[in-house]
Amino acid sequence: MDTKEPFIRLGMPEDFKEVMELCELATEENGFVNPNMDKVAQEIWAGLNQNYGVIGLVGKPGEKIEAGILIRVGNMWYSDGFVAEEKAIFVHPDYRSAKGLRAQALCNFSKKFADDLGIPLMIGVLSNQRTKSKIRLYERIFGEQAGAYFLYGAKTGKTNIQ
Amino acid sequence: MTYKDPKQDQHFDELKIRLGTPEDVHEVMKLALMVSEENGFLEPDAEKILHEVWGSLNRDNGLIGIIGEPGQPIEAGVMLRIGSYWYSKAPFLEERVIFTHPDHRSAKGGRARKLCEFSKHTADALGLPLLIGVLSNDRTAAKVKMYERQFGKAAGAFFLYGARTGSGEGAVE
Repeated sequence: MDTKEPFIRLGMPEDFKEVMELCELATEENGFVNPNMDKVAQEIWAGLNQNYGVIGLVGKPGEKIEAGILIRVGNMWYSDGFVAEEKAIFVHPDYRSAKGLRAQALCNFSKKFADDLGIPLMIGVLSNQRTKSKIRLYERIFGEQAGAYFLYGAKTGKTNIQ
Repeated sequence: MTYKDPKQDQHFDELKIRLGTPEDVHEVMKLALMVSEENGFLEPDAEKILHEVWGSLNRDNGLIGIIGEPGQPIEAGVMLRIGSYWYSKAPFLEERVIFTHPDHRSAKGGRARKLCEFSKHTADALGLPLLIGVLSNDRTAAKVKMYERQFGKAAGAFFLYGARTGSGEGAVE
């Protein structure tokens, strides 16, 4: 059993197809509104080209991606200051383990990204499935939570509401 | 999409929540700047805030629910915007901010609770899902508990790294 965090590499434009395959799984599993893959592709392409964002990946180039994180640099609605916003962290179902080493490595990657840019990082869990265990993993890495999400009239993983 | 004015609903009569109008812009901006100082983790930009507030006061993809008489200081308010999530084109209702003026926090009436109910009612009226939450390093657990009473179990959590709400400077602490 692995006990070491996996290596995270930066996603490149060549990873587009494999990353989009992972996104389809992620939006199906975690979305609370119907996904639009054109819109997803725009975000992914920007991340892969390091245009106001980055994608960290676990998995060798050209092979199936084991896990990934999309971070975009943007603003909050009330500010023009920059923030690194984690849009999604996703581990392929074939590579999930109790230790959550891939997710942990991706969280640590996001911290380093924010440190390198010298901007705050906003990261979170938005999922009605195994919410508590996911939050516990984040608490181990980021400390006490700074807030919570609530969904009314929707649940993640049920994207047939619209 | 049709919008049913919550003021017309008898359920809301006792709540005294009214829809903000363009005439409320100055009082809303005072409250909004206070909010961003108290709860923001980045330096607020008044022009950007005004853009959001003005849109909402004109019910352009959003609205503001206000507790307080027109022309008087606002006791509490909620700004709701209609937007789409990064991976979707489907609209949803997003709570940008719920805020009670410090002078009215200990007063009876449960203003924050009423504004949460107003948000649910608005989501129902529009037929849209509502994403609402707490993003604050100050009394986080107590705020989350109040939301849990309104919305049930949390669907997730926010974490901030390199910043704390209320710092307002955007500086990495």
